Amino acid sequence: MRWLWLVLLIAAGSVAPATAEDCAAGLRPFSDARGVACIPEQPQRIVALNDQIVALPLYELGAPVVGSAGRVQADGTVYLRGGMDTLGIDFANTDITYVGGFDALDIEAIASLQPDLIIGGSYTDAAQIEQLQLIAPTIVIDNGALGLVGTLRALADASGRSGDFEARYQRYLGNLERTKSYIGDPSKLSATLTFMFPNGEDLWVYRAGLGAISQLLSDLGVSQPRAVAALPDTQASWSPELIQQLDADFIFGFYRQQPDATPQAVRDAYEHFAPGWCEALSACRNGQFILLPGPTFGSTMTGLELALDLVETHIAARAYTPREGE
Amino acid sequence: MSMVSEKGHIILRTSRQGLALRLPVWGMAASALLVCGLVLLFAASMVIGSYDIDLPTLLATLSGETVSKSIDNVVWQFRMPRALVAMLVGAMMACSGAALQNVTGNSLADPSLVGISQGAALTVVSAIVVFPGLSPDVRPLLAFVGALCVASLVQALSAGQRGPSPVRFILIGIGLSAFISSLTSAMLTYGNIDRVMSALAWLAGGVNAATWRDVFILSSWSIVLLAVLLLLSRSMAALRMGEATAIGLGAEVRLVRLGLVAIGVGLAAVSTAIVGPIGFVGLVAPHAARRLAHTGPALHLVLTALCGAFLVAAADLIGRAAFAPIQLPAGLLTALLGVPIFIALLRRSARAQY
Repeated sequence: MRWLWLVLLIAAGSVAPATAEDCAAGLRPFSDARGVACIPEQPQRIVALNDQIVALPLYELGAPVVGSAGRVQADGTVYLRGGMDTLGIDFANTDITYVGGFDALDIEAIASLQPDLIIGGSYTDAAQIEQLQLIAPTIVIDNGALGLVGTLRALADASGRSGDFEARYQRYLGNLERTKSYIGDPSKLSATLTFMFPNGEDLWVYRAGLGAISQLLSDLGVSQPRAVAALPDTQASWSPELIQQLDADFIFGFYRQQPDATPQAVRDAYEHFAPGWCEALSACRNGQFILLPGPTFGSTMTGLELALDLVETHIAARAYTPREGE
Repeated sequence: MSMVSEKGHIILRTSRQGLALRLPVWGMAASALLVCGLVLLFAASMVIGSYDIDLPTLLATLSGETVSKSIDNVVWQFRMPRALVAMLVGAMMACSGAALQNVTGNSLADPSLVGISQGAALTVVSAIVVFPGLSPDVRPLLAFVGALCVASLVQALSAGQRGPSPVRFILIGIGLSAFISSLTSAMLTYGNIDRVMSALAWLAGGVNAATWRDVFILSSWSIVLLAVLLLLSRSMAALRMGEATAIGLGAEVRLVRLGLVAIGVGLAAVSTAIVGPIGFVGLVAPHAARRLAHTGPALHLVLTALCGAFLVAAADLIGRAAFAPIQLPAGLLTALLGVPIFIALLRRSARAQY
């Protein structure tokens, strides 16, 4: 029995959270998706294991990002997804070094940057995290569980930029109240978030989780069509035969700064997916199908502010025709 | 101990003639060449990488001196286990292919081609997506169960009234492999996005996250499974001459077949569980070994293991260094090499049958 207690004590000790006293000088405890880790009080060299979700929010906060995972174009050049659209940055015009894809990291490239903090997402392979821990404290931010604001707050905290983030977030909340006052009762307004893939073969509909725009519509308290609100997951692939279920006062789609996702290409993709779709939806017939730029579904404060401005312009500052039959 | 040279063979005999070994000279030379190649490849894997380490620093680190903690990590924790895992996985996949080719009498049998790797992949992806809390330690077991189920199903479905047909075996294997892959795809489409991304990284078939723990697991399984496979090599020689002849020569055909299937599946399942599915090694390596030297089954297995180890280690080194820091998974490169070879072998097999 004494052995059992000893084993339990050891087990409890191994999962007990780190405290400030447990961390070496210059380090502090930080709670992430895996538990509590000791990280630098003020990191000086951060490597992000995801460009869109980690590197861009850190960069806009002014955190010292020295390396990031990225994407590879067909011609072999590497880029930060959403970097140029959102913040006008890429590997070519910053000091951020490419360290591989988020799912194919070059661990030696990360080691050669001599980082003092590595930040990844919950998809990062557990074995890879063990290796990264040998290079520098590695934390995992579960953006799915934290939501956009929770993720941005955690990143700000980890990088020692909480003050900058909170000031900016308070300004957003103030602007949000202004937009609400223009709209009146936002809950009487309905909106649907659709994401069309450029080839026109697949349409995804989001109840939640589509970055900044989902956060904004939730903050505004805008309602959703019944079929969308009832989705068991945050998103679903939609059948063209059920496209009428998506009708709302406003329907949002997205374009991006790439040749196959221009506003016209995206509209053509909707037509390819469901010919005559615009006639089937009162929102589209009445000119209330709105294409927003890529940063509005990204994971940055810049994207959130842009989404607020555009939604205010397209909804609050104009007359519109409510959805038929509502 | 005496040594006699005879028509391209060396015969070794113990003093009382208790044990005699007839070793083909060219086969031994080919093995020695492959071992030298592997040593050179291992050395290259230690030298080449995104982290710039000059030769004196590398040698100092290898001799146990700590030049810097980062360099220690890169050499001892990243490069060395990675190179060893690539070699072990290559040897296991290759011998799995050799065992399956022998037991099915089909020179096209490869664990990744006939659905065995896909069966292992389906169970592991299911574990990652549906049961994310499950320890990675159970992956080899899950992979083994998935692979064994598929192997049994392919064998059962391809056994026609007139006995097994090599082309039918391969076609049913390809069909079943496509079916299992579609189940895996469905899981990836509808699963939680974070878990799916984790599974996708594993499915790419790379050794980039190799650790000493993986080296330990793979080497433990290799020692057991490859030793049993070598013990079965005499019966494999008998099986090559057909079932009736093998029985006439006193081979326990049913037991040997069962053993070869279990070992072939086990080797593929364990390596798949650790690094993900790496295709075509089991197809290419036995053929490459046969081209290098015509030998008996035991030496052929050794040559096959060495060829497989060389193939995957070279694919991994090229994949991580050629376009660094862009990383190409080893599985992609082995498939690029394996597909043309598979097509050539399939054409030859079809010509032989019709």
